[in-house]
Amino acid sequence: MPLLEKLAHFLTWVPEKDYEFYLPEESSTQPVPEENKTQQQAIFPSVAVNLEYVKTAYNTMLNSDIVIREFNILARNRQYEAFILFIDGMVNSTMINDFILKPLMLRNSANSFEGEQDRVIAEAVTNNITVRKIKKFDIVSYITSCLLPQNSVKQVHTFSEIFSGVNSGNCALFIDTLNVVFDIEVKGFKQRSVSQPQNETVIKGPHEAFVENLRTNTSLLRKIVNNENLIMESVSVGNITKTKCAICYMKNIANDDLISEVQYRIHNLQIDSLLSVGQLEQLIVDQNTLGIPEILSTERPDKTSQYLLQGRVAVLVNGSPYAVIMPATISDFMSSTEDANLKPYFANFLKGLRLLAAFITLLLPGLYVAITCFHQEILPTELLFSILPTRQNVPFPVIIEILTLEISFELIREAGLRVPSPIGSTIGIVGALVLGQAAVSAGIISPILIIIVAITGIASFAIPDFSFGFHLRFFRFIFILLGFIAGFLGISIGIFVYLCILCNLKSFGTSFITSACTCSNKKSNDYFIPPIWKQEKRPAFLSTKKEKNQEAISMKWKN
Amino acid sequence: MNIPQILKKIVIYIFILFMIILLIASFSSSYASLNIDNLAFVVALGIDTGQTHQLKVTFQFTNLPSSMEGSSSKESQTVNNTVEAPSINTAIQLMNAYLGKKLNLSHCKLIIFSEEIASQGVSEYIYTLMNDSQVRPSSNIIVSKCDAKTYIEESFPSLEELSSQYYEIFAQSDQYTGLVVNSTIGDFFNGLICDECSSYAILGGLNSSQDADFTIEGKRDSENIRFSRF
Amino acid sequence: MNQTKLSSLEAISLVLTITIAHTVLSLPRILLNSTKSATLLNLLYVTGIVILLAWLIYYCFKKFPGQDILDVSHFLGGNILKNIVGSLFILYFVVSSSILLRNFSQSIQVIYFPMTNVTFVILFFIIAMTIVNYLSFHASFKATSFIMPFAIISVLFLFLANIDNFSFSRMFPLLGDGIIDTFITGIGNVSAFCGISVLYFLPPLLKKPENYKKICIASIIISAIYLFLCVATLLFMFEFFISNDELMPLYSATRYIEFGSFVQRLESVFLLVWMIVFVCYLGITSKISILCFKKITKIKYHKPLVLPFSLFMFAITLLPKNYAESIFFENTIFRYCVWFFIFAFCIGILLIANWKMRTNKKEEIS
Repeated sequence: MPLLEKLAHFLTWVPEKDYEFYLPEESSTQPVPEENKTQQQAIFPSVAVNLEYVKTAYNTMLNSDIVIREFNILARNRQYEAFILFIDGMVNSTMINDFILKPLMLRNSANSFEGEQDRVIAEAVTNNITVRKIKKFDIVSYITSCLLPQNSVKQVHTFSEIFSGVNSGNCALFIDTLNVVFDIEVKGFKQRSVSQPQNETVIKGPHEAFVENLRTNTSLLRKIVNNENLIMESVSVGNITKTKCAICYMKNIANDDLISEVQYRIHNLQIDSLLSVGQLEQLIVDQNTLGIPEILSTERPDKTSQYLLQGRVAVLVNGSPYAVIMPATISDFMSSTEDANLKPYFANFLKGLRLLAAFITLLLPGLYVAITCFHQEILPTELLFSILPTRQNVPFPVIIEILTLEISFELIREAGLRVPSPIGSTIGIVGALVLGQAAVSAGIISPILIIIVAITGIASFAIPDFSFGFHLRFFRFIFILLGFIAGFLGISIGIFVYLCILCNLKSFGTSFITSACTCSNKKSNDYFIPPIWKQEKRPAFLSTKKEKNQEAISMKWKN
Repeated sequence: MNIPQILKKIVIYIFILFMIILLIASFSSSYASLNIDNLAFVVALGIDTGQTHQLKVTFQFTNLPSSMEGSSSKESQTVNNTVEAPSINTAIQLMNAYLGKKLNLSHCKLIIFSEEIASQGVSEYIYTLMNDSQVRPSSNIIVSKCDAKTYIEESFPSLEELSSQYYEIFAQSDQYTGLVVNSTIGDFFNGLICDECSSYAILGGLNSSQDADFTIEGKRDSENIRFSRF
Repeated sequence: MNQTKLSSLEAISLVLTITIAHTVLSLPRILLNSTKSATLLNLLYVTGIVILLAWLIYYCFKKFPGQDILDVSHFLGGNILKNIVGSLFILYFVVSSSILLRNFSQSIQVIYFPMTNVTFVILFFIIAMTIVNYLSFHASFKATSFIMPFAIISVLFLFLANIDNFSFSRMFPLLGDGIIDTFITGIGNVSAFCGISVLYFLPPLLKKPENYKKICIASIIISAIYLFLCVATLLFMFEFFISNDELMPLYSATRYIEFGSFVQRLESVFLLVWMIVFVCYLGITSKISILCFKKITKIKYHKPLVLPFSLFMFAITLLPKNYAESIFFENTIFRYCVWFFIFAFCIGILLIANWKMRTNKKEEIS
């Protein structure tokens, strides 16, 4: 009687089913043993054993995108069993069909050569005895030279090399009775095309930016530098991901010690995975003092080439649209590519403006706190009397007010990154203007503080390098605290200690503050750049092999 | 990192925290006395002879409305208070007690002596004022024919919002009128000390007005320049 | 510690910092009180003498390339003399900077922190100095060379902005209290150039030791110009016996600067720059005394010494009971210290060492 049953179900209490799944705190599974030894395994001559090994290694029962295609090769009237191994989605299937399978499987003029003839190289007849030099038939060279019309074919011997090739999109060709495997370049996975830089826009310069693929990035650099002395060394970092990195430098310009130092640091990293340039940056810097960046990271190839031609070293990481450049000094963080494209007067004006922006970001809130707490006599009387009445209704002391405002500004900034785009611009308006205005009318905040925090925020956006601006934003809190504790005494001590720490930093063998130091006597090293015809020498702190950038009189047409 | 290093790090962090708290605590008393919220800024100072005590000191403060809508009438923008005391410092202490906020002379633009007191000799008052680290050496000195108290109460600027602006501008108007000289307390003090120089001050006065609330708009009169010996 | 060396500009700024740190306090007042209105003339005269002395120092050090005064005293009298000279230098640097620190903190406390105990103001400076000493050897010297232009500009600005308030008649009488007072007794004003104490330690630290002569003479000339500006400002603005009871005479000079109604009462900005210079000075003297100590005792690492030295300086700053005692030390005792120790004693050692070197060479030849 379904109705009664239903009534019974309705009236009785049924316990809820608890979904029981817990991860134990101590792992009950055995740790997987290190796979290094097995990866060094050399290739077996028998293709069946190779097939079993590959199927086990790649778990082809479970992995759905690993493809193994077995076929027979006909070469010199002999048949060889073979198979190719590739990952679906990462290869260009047309290329595999046309340039690997077709020439190997179909009968064509190359592989239909019949006969057991050996190739005769030379023949000499003396005393009725004929001596012939014969080149023995070598199937490996035959296949490489005649049967595979593919532009990049490598012969590898160990499984680790095969797997790293297949994982990056190549195709591996196994042939029976041979002890080499052919690693064939057929990459064809989808990637982002070269587009405009997101974070480093420039008005007069090129609008290309790096993408995630390493080869595309290196090609962008090669296009601009256009010289055979540009070296791109390939390094694998990370035990599991084996991320490909490229160390780029100009062989005839960059200092050898610098190059070897960079190579040494990158080769000696014992990590499991390297996923981005930011991680690499943290792993190879000298010291991570106070978050001050010591390596420059950029997403523009023209900026990278400019630094390469100066004699620095750049590192590209596969999967990250950024390049890191080392060594980096403080004026590199404050200059943008625009400076090279404008006339020197305007470029120096912009540089001075950025320096002012750096000071404002770091010091303005701290100075405001110090002045209102201890040194009111500096303010002009009118300004003081316009600050005073606005402060009468505010319930908080200056320090709480300014800390609240600064933290809310940072919150708005962080929230603005994650807001979905339809409301993205609204948050900017809502957050900044309306909230600020509402807070003033409610009597929580004084209006002059809103202006100060807004100017500080705007100045922090004017700094070209993101990480440098970030560290300045972080340190203004310390200066606020110092200004609150002891007014100008605290601020002066803060400035001095900060300056000493900056002077103490070293970035890949050069002092961090070299280029801004007034004691260096080469003109092109200063913070403010001279006109381009006067930039005759490369920066002295790089110790480059070629010191001169251009002749003393570079404009020969001018007489 | 082994245990001694971890312990060392912890000790260093605790030490830094302790230092910060100690410094905040120790400087907080100065903060409390110098903080902008606890200060009352004097704009003008007037010194007369007093009835019960030796001096009658008048302080003028600016009382700006906190809301910016509309302009209030001129009277409510300034607040005048007068005390009688044997000396200037005592007068300041009395004012502190009466007002609650601490007096701050760093924006005082005008110091006015009545003619009565000036004829008795002002050098000791000048010394007192110059010794105070807050008084600006560029504040102006005026000797007024009437009471300093009346002078301060009756002076309303007609073209400016703040009286402090008015005091500054009018003392510097010697550049285009010939009627006043920019006489500052710093120059006055130097003149007192120096053997070869004399001190000078502006002689000021009011138009004839018997009533306290008779507003004199735009008829500020600084009469003669007189070089007096003190 | 030996990775980087000083360039000439940094070396000059070292010497200059010491002079500036002294002028901020009461050095100009001492000079003015001793020679009254003839101070400017006296200063020119004294500069000439000190330039000669600096040249003498350079000439004596020519025979000992790359060695500083401790090595020279080791050559002259063995370990004993080296230890004596080293300890005297350490004592000189530590005590003079401590007393100066005490005076400066006291002045700042009176002006800005009336309710705070002076101990905490001193603590601020000591903490900054300790942090800076833990960094590498070169960091504080580089920072000093950054700050130097600002300090010089500040005094130049002070001089130019106060021209309105100058009365040049205070320069007269030109010879002040008389020729004997100005030129004979006035030689005591040589103690104004106490920056020379750094010159004795410079040769091993320089990047280009051949510039030593330039460094010596240039630093003296620039210090002289700086002193000239400070003394001139004070001389022309105030009468002498006004300056007697001022905490920091240059500070009172800054209170007179006024440009219209916007720029007024800039003294806090000047003090900001001078406080930074003062911390530079503390850093330099502590670094040199640690270097001295390291040389005497031949220990390998200097970092563990930083904390004891800071505590030692902190203790000495708290020694004087009140302001009068520390002022007395700075004005009277310090002058004789500098005059006797820095100039007479050290130059004597250099001359005797030179003579010994010459006689040794003559013996070798003969």
